[in-house]
Amino acid sequence: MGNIVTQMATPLSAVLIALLLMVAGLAAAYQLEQLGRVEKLRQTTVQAQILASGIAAPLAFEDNAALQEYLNALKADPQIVAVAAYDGRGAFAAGFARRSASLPRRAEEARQAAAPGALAVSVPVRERGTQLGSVYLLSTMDSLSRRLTRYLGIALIVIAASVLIVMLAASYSSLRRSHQALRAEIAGRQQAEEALRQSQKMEAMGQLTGGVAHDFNNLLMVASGGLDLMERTSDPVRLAKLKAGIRQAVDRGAKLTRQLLAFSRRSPLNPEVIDPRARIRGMDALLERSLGESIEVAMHLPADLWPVEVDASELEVAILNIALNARDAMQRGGGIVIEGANIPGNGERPDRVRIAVTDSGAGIAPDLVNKIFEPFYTTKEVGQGTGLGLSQVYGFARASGGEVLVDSIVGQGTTITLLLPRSPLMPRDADSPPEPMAAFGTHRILLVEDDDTVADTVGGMLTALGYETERVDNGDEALRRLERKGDFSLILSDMIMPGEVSGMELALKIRQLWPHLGTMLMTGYSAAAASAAKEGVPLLAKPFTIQDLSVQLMAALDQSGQGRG
Amino acid sequence: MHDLRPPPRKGRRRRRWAALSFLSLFVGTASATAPATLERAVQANFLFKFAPFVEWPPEAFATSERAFVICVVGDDPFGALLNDVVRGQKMANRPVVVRRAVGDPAPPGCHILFAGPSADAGYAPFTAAEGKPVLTVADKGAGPAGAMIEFVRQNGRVRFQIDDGAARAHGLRISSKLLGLAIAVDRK
Repeated sequence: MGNIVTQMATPLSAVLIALLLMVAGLAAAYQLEQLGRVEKLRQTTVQAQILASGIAAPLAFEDNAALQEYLNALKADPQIVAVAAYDGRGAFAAGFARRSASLPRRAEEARQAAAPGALAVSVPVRERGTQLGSVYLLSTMDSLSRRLTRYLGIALIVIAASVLIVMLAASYSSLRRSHQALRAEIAGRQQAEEALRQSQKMEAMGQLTGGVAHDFNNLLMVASGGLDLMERTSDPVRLAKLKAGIRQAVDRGAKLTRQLLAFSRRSPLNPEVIDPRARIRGMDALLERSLGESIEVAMHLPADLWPVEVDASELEVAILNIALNARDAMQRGGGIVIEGANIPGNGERPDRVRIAVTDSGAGIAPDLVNKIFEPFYTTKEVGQGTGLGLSQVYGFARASGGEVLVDSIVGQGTTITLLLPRSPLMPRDADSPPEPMAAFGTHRILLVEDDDTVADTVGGMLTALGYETERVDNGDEALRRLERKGDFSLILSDMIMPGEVSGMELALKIRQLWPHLGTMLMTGYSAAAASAAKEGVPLLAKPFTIQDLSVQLMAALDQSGQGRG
Repeated sequence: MHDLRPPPRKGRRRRRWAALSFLSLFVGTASATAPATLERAVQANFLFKFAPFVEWPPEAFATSERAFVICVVGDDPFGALLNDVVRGQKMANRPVVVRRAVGDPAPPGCHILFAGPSADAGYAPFTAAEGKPVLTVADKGAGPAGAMIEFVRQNGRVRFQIDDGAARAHGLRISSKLLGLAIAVDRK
């Protein structure tokens, strides 16, 4: 309905409506005119009849004085221009004529006379059925100017309404046009925004893949080069050095993927209660190696710094990321100060530990402060950085229940502050990384892993630790194997495998069918890890070292009552 | 009689009337016939024209007579003039006829009775109409007395006076228009 109205509301239809209105106005005026003429005729006829009745006796008995008196009475009406009375034989008896009007001399002539714009009425004079004569009355219609004046009001209203309709239609039409233009522009802008967003996404993807590929290429270079060199030498010292180099490259790769997962908020945090002072002090060698010789690192960490409950390695990565950014802000060298402080809470806030990293670099422009934590935001060239460093810092702080603050003055330096909640617990003794613990007694372990390389590596580790192993490809096969004979101490399974039964389902089924069997899951995918943690199944996060594996296996075997005890 | 003169009028016809009356002044001295003829013509015309202004009671038309009758008794002053006036005329949807009864003073079925002069010593034309719805007319100067309408001359013009009381007594109703035109009305 509204649509029809919209389509009809064109200037053309408005002009048509206005024209119709004018035609209707003219028709109404014409109709009024006709009605007025009829009314006037009736009025004049009535006047003539009254006159005829009045003059019957004077006309019959030739009392001309009285007759003339009667006729003259009509002179009071300015529209009556001629009046005449005729006797029974049709001869003129009396009358008067105004202006240029002429009087018919006989009654027969009077009956015919009818000038345009005038009304001539001829009425017989009768008395009791006997015709005594006739009366002639000539009346003018209203003058044209007078009639026009009468219709001027209507005409003005009609014209005003027509003009109004045309103007409204014109303004409506122009509004509609601009509305359509506006909508078209909105649609265009939405498209442009969508395209821009898409291109930004592509750019970010490019930066990420570029940065990650670059880093990975470097460490793969180190690893593959190291292996090549290992084949060509038998010098134990040189071999040890090469091994250390490969190990370092692999660690860096693991760190990189961990960072990526942290940014995508998919990294499982391994919170533990730590002494931040000890942890950060332990980083001094790493920091010096990472930052280079031109950067001096100073640490002001009070001995009574409160413990915090965070993922220790994440904390180290965060500190490292901040320090790396600080280094990049100081192209000509400078100093980095790492400070720690206890911030007692008040009623609203809990106690917190403040760890601030201050540099004397270029600073961050105020309009960029809000962007530095955005994933993939980087001021560095492709390959120089992933744009994920400070994003990891932000993710770590939020995931640890803390926050991160930036305080920067352009040209003077930047302070990035981590505020971490104090833990009420005391940290465990930070003992040195445990030596791989060999298996105690004989344990058979069923390894469920679809990837041959991983299966070989993990199987090799287990054999090296003194376990007997048997490998199957997937969960279904594992169940069949267990149904045949459940002669295992523990089932170590990957989480994501082809086949009907996933690692998680396998673990739950084993817990249900063979409660005495221990299970342990391994995965590199954090969402799966979260579900395992929820079910209380021990979990090994890939990549893991042989030490990690030995410790976790011990714990798991202890739990299922088949450990050393 | 020579002082009979139509009133001054405008228009050609009036001038003709004026010429005629002027002529009558001169002719009147030489012969009484011409002005008398004019006066009689006017009277004849009036005699008929009284009829539309008078209302007769229904019994006046109850007879088998199918005509409206104007009777003339005594000496007839009109002659063919009256016949010319009523020719083709109708009154109350009846043809108008003229009856003359010279020497017979009581013609029956009259609606209007005009009594002319008479040399007869026992001339009493209205006695026969006494008690009947008959409009009696006479010339005051040259006719018997006692008519309901009497012609008189005033300023040289033919006028009339009306005895409305007598007319009412005979069941006749005379229109106020006619009464208004009479120079005198005796209402009694």
